[in-house]
Amino acid sequence: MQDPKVLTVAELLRLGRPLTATNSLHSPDRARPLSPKLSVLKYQRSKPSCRPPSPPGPTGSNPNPKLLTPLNYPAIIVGTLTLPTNDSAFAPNPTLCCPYNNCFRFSDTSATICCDIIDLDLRILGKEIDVLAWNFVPVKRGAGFLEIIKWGFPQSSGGLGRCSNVDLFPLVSGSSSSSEDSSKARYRIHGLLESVSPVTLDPCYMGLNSSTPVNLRGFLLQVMACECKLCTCKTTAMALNDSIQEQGRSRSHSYNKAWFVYFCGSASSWHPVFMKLIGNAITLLGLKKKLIYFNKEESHLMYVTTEKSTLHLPRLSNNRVPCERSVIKGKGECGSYKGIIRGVYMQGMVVELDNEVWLLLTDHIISQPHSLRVGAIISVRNVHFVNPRFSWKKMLILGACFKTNIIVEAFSPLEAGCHTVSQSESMLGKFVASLAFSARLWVLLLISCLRKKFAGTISEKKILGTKHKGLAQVYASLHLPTSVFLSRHGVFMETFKHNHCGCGSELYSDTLKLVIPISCFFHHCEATWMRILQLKSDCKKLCENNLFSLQSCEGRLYDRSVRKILTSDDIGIILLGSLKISPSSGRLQLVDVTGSIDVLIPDLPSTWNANSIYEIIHYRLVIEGAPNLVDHLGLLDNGPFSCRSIFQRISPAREINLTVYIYFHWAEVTCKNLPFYPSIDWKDDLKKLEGGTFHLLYVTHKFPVPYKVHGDPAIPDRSSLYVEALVLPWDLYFVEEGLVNLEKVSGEQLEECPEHSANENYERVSLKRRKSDHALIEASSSGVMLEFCKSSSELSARSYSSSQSNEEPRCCNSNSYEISCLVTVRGVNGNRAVSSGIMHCTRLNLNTGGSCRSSMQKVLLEFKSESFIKYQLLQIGGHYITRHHRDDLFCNFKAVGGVKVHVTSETHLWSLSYASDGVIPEKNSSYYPTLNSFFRNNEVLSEDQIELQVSTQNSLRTCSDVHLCIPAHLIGLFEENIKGLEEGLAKATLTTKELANASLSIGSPNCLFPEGKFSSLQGQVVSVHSTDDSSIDVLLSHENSDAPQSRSFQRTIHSFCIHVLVDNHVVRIFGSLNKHAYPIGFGPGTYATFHRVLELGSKNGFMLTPVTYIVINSISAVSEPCSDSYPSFQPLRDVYSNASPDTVSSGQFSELSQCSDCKPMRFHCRVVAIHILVLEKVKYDGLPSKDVSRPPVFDIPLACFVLDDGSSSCRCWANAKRASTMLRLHEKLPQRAFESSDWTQKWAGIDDNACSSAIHHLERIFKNHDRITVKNFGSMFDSSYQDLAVSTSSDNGLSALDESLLKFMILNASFSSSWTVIASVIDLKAVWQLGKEHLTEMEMTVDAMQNICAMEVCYTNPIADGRNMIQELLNS
Amino acid sequence: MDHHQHRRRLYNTHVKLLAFDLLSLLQTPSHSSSDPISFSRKGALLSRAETVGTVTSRELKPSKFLKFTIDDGTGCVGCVLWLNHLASPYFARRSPSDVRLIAEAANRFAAEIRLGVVARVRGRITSYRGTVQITVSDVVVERDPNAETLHWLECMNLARKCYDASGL
Repeated sequence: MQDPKVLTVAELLRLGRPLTATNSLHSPDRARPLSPKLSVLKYQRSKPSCRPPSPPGPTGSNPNPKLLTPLNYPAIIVGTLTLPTNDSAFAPNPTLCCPYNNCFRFSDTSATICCDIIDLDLRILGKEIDVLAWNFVPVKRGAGFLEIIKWGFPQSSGGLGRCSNVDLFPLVSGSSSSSEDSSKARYRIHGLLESVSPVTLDPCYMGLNSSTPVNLRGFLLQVMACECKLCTCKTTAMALNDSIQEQGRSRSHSYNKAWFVYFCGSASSWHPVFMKLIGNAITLLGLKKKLIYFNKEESHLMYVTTEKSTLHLPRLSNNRVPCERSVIKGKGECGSYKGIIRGVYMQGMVVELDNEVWLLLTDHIISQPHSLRVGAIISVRNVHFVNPRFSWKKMLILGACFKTNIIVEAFSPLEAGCHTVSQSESMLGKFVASLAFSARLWVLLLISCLRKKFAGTISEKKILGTKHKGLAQVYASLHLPTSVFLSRHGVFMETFKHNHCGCGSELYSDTLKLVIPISCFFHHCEATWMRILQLKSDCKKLCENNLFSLQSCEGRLYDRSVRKILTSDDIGIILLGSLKISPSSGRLQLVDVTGSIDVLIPDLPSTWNANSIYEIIHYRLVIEGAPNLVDHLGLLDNGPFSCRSIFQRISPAREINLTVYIYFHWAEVTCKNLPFYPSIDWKDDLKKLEGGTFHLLYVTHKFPVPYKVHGDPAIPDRSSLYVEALVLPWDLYFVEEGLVNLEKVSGEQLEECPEHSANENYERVSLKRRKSDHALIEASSSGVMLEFCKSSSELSARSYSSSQSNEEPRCCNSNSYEISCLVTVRGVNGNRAVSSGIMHCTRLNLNTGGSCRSSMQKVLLEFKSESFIKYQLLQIGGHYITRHHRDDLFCNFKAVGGVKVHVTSETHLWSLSYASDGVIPEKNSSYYPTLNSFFRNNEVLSEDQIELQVSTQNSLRTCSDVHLCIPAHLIGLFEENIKGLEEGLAKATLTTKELANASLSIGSPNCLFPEGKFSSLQGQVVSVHSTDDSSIDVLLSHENSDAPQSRSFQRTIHSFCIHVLVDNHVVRIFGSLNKHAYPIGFGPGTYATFHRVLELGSKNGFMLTPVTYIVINSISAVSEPCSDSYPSFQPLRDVYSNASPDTVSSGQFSELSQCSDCKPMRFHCRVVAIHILVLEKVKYDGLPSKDVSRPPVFDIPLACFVLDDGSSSCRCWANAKRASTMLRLHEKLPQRAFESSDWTQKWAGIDDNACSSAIHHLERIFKNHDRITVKNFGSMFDSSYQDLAVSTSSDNGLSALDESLLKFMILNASFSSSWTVIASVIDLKAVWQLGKEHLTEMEMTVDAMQNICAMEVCYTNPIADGRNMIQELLNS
Repeated sequence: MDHHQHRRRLYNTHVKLLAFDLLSLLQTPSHSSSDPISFSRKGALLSRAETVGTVTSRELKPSKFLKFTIDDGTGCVGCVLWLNHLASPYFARRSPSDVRLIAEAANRFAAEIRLGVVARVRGRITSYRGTVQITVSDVVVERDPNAETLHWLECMNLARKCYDASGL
């Protein structure tokens, strides 16, 4: 064997690379003999480079740590293993990574580094050894750490002499001259080493009279001593001999008396040795007994080391007492745990063992071995088992206290770094250490989350805190109940009085909710979705019927998604972030650095601040997705949500196939005026309102957000949004007194901030509500109202007295009136201010109601991208006020037509509501809309429904910024007038010119408008489905693995058919709408208002236009995608009612001959050949096409396929859409077809998906041809033996290439995968009739083959159909 | 239905049989010149079959044939995919462009048959050295792992409802 190279420590340090060297292991003569029992373990350890002990799993910083790089030559290190020495603290050695001076040292002539060793033999301490197998881990520049796996004595040294007195180790070396009385040091103790405390530096008063403390390094050792006669024998030498002889019979000892030994002074350097000896039997000699005072009251008699103390290790008792196996209750009891480290996070404070087992090492004083690296096997002794019972995750916490000891059983073979905890304890660290274990983990998760959520926006210092409390601590103190705070007593007390210090009794922290980054939240939603569908066996129920997600409209099947609504209590997660408008979708979103989630807030005040961080505790989460998605999600690399994902680096948010959004009321939001943000000055908001004149606007319509197709030149990048509004002839004036701030909502006074959360910067300004607080809030809110009524009546009295008459509206001149009113302004934080105001009417004779049309003006409000948020806030049918400026267009109407007003970021629009002052005392009035709707939503509405608009009569009063309180006797006049005005103009439709303008700017340029009348309708959406070729949908699911291709289809605009239940009557709305143009939450189960849909000729038909605006009124959960709950829903044509999912049973072609009825059946079959195919060019006669986005170029009036399902063959007749599905016209043609054929030359460079689909080629062919017929004169049973004859109607036939391409398409269709076809038998006569319609000559082959008519065609869903078939097989 | 018709009711159908079933078909000399051997199962004559399984062996003779094995968990079925269309006199009477299309399709199938993929194979039942094999007419590579399970179930379902149904 090659002679090993001797490396020096300095060389390793200079290399600075993680290395492992195990080659030298294979020189058996040099290694020290191994006991047979350990050899197995050692073998495993010895080959880390080629076979790790087990897959290490993910780690903290690097999810896929590499194996340590093995040296490719035998290398040993020659040096000396020593104990740490105290003096190094004064002269720090740069090569030592250890901040706490607590680990073994390895020195050679070149340098000294920290090291760890497996299976320590105390006899090697201070002797030169050859390190045969080792790992080297660099820690920082110029420092490193050595893991000694195997060592041997140099050959020259001759090893250990047999007779040397090696079993006695003096704890203090070289001390002979002792001033101490040696007679005192006469005690010995024999027992099992139970635990070792961390090393502390304690001020000690030597003797009761001494006044100056001496800082003494030391640690405590707990020994379970035996009190048998032998062990308590005072004659040291005799006892020692006896006890040595006794070792073989050590079982006769009973180790049940706990004794503490205080190792102080230079003996404290033995700490790493004792850490290795835990669980072993040891004997300590030369101890003295001493009464140690921890403080003035507490004292304890214990053994203390002296300069004469020695450690004796019984030679044969090298076997550690195995850990006891006990049932883990998780209530804080102590026990041992052994596992592999999967991750080390938060600077080593959190260590992940196995699956969701978390070891907490939060006490900074607990020294972690450097070898605590990912991949290492450790056993943890005396650790507290805590099951935190968090609502969001099941896990086991291993809480380390001062008695906990970690023993590294095997070094990690991975290139994972070691963590070192800084010795200085931060404020946050102290805070964390003062908590119960479950709360500690919660805070650590919180810190990690906050750092990720606000990375780059808030500095680490502000999150973690320095001298002042950081965001994490402030936030945590607000949420932690007082019960989780522990008082700490120091290492001594907690080691002695371990059971009385509280760390052993853990309270459940089930109320602690988690804050997570939004990207993690999405993963959590995905996991929750799957769990719901699986646990509640919805999936099973849904999948029992193969057509679980399919409904029929004109025979077409389409997917229906399932919607689930979850409450925040179920989820156990708090959302934290700022509110922004998404630049791409224009939707309101809750945003942090990691991602964003759509939010629905029905009562969002217009004054919210985009820079604030909001906390949302109570919310509803809505998840929508197709039920069969479960199957696909299961296949994804999608681990369930775990704490690991929070500690780890956040992976970029990937697109999930679920629609996820949250819904909450503004009243539920806690605005965190975080210390580092300028607190929102509500006065500024309100100041904008003070004084001046305001115009009153009524929104009649909102034009929808145009969908920006990337690179579409028809829609400019910076397009505008438009809102149509009326300027009502009423102006609002504030009287001079200005706004008077009301007391803040007294609900906040309910808040009793926990003792530890006192932070004056940190205001809680909204209601924090728990279910039990209901009554309280109700009571208090009525209190608020009463209080408010009082003040308001005072104010109104004042305002009325200031105005001259409170009986009649003041008449200023011949056609101008004024009404005094009380104005309440809602601030963003729920604060309110009141003022008196005057509604002034100038341009109208009040008595004529709304008849005077010229007195009001229609305006088109234009919103550029910077004011999109204002667009979002406006609601159709809502009233708004905006400040009057001298030159604004709201009052300078010159033109008779509409005026376009540009709404800039400076323009402010406040929502306005009004009521009579007579209704205030009623508790349920809409005067206090926030609370009112809040109660509605929590008490009246079911859990499975969320309401987005609270509609009271005709006015929308969700929650207005400004509320007018008008004297009861005048409101009638005002209301009537306003309503009259609105009714007069609201119904006025746009002129043709305006419509054209709007469509140019908003719609797609090639759409044609049919004539018709605009109307609005409101109802429950029963179903939505695409009316485009269904093959696109099936293609999406079928070609799921081919992501780029799927995307190209998703980009296209689809035509949709929406079934809406209006007054127990189903109407259908057609039109093309991009997926992104849907308002969020749109789909079956929602109540929606469709503004400006076009009435089609038929009674139940409507059409979506580019100006149609859809408003969602409420959203319900949908778990049963069946139409049973809508009794009035009937498909329009009876013939298809047979095909409803419930009645279609699966069948086989061989059974068709026995079928007398024409009931449709479901078949799994494949195309073998085509029988006949007729393709025709579509001639447009000017009628609008339903499919406005892409009118088809050709039609398939006749198509017949030969299908084979394994039982028989049959002829299947299909209409154009089903035929195009079966012909796979929308699929990409195999690329190889182009590579190897002549077509390559002709269409070289075609690689775009859309262009390589068959339909693209057919469309091209049909530029020159009107009609193409393909007949098969060959085999009907073998795809390859079809004899296809192609003929065209025109004289010029197809080119050879085109003919070849067409045949290729047909062959390609014959080679397709399995189809699920719903079809019913048709008789020969019908077939004959069918043929005659389209063909001049129709040969009828009389054979036994059955004819069927396809009603639905889609690709087989193997998992759903498989489930179905198992059920069928089991039942039969 | 007379006996003869009943015997031939599955003749032109691509029967879905599990490999063990397919391999144990009864082989009898036939009077037909094109198919020297006919296959029957419980009295029913069979000529075509469909199988789904993992490709476990692959032997390519370029421009001649590709031999491969489909393992469906119950047995291994040998398959042969001819690649000699352009040279074979068998196709000489058909139009060259059609033959070229078929040949290209066969080449495409041959490229898709890779070791380890799950393939759905359709073709004629033939015999090679006394063992049943499939002379492949088309191949679909299944991406969904559930396709194989569904095939098993379909085999069982068909066997129960169709192939094993009495009447002979």
